[in-house]
Amino acid sequence: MSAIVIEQLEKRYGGFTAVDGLSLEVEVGETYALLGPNGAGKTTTIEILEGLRPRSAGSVSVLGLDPGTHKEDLHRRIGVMLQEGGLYPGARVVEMLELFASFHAEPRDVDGLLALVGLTEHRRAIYRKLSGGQKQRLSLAIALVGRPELVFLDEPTAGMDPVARRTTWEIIEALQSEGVTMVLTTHYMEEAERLADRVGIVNRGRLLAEGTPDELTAGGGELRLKATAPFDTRALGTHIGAPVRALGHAAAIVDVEASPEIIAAVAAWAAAHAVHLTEVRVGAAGLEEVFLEIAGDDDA
Amino acid sequence: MTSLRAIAKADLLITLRRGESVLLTFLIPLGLLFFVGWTGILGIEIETLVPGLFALSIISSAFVGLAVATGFERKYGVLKRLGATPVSRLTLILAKALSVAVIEVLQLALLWIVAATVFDWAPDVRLLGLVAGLVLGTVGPAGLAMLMAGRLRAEATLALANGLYFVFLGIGDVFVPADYLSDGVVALSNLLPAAPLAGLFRWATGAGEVTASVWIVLAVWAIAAPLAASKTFRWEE
Repeated sequence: MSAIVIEQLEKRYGGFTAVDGLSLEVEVGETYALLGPNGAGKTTTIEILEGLRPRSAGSVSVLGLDPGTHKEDLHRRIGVMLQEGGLYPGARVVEMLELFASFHAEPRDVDGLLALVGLTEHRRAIYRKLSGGQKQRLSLAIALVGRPELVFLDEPTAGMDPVARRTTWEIIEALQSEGVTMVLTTHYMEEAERLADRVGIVNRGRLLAEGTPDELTAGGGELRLKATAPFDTRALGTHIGAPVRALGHAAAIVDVEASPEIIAAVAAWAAAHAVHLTEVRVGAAGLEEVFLEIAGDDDA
Repeated sequence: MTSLRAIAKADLLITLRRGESVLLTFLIPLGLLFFVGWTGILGIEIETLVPGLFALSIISSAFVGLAVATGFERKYGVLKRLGATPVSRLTLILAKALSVAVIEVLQLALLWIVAATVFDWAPDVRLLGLVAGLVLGTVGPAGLAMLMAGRLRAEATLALANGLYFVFLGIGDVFVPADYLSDGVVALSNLLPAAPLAGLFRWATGAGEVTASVWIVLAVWAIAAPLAASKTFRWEE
């Protein structure tokens, strides 16, 4: 069963197309990570799903509802963590949680939530005076206060130190075990690999690739090269008799099952052409490499 | 209902915690009451002064306080975040209105008690006039507040709203008699909300007559400003 169905979603701002024919589905109970550079359309997509933004074209169903027309019904059932802000700077932590709790029929216990996100000793603190990570954790607690079936987390750990990040991951994993469906955006590959059941890679408003982290990173036995400076991938390909794809700056993938002969041929060619290889590796890409490969390494 | 009360309560707490808000809504009107009341400067009677301060107080809440708070709530994404809750926009607007109304009642009660006990102010009250002053003094200025806060940057709203507060204080017939102002300024002032509101409160407390132009100007503000705001308001900066 699908919690979210997006078909051919488009969002245009004047002449700028932020989301360009995006289609994807998220299953109930699944955690789906949208991965992409700044300006890829991740936040715009999420805010359309949350009912915060109208779409220009396409169809969207969230928990069986159209977020454009059934906002109140939808908002009773989802939790939202905006990328930043959203809370009164002059309010106390506990006041904000109690305020948002009052919007729901059966809210979670406020003290329990404060303990869960590690803000118990800051319950009387003024929001403005919290650190970035503390603000994020309060925002997460507020997203959870209404016992949502579906939670949207827009860069949930941005600006957190490693300890706070791990705490947040554990909270998210606890929600996963409760069967809560989650959509998150992130810049952190490690986060997507650890938390997501499936990852969608977006750039320029399009879904470029989609799959489980394992599927996306299963590189087979291809050979990955890095050098100190850009080199002629076409000449290398001709020399070794195999296709070579450039990958970002001074890196490439040799698209054949790597063998000792191929590695030797690559090394010989590099030596003959004064190309200083810093890495020669077989298979097993991290999500970051996959991402760079698919989306390009510029913040377009 | 619980959402409405909860938002109004949060709004009230935050408003009363903001120092500059308390200064404009409570301290300046009260300070003027004592200063003008004791010195009798410009030959102003207490009967004329108190309703003028009522008008200033209402405008400080319904216009300045509301504009500044809403502008910053928009800047900090509070309005956007509330838009992702089951709370409807109507509930949000009613909660804000309730919060403003509570502050206004507190302001008038405080001025009333001090004026009555310290300066023996004994008004000849027209209840209908007081209610009309509260409603008309709130709706139009609140619409103007939303018109600014919904389009301008929060810092611009802050500067402009505070600036207008002092314009109203100076030429809004709050305590400076019209004789001290040029005809052009008086004519302009009579078209802004403050001076007609002061006139309405004087009538409501038995300190003068109300003219048709007072009702017309306040009614036009009360209709036009919220209408314009509803057409132009943007929930995100």
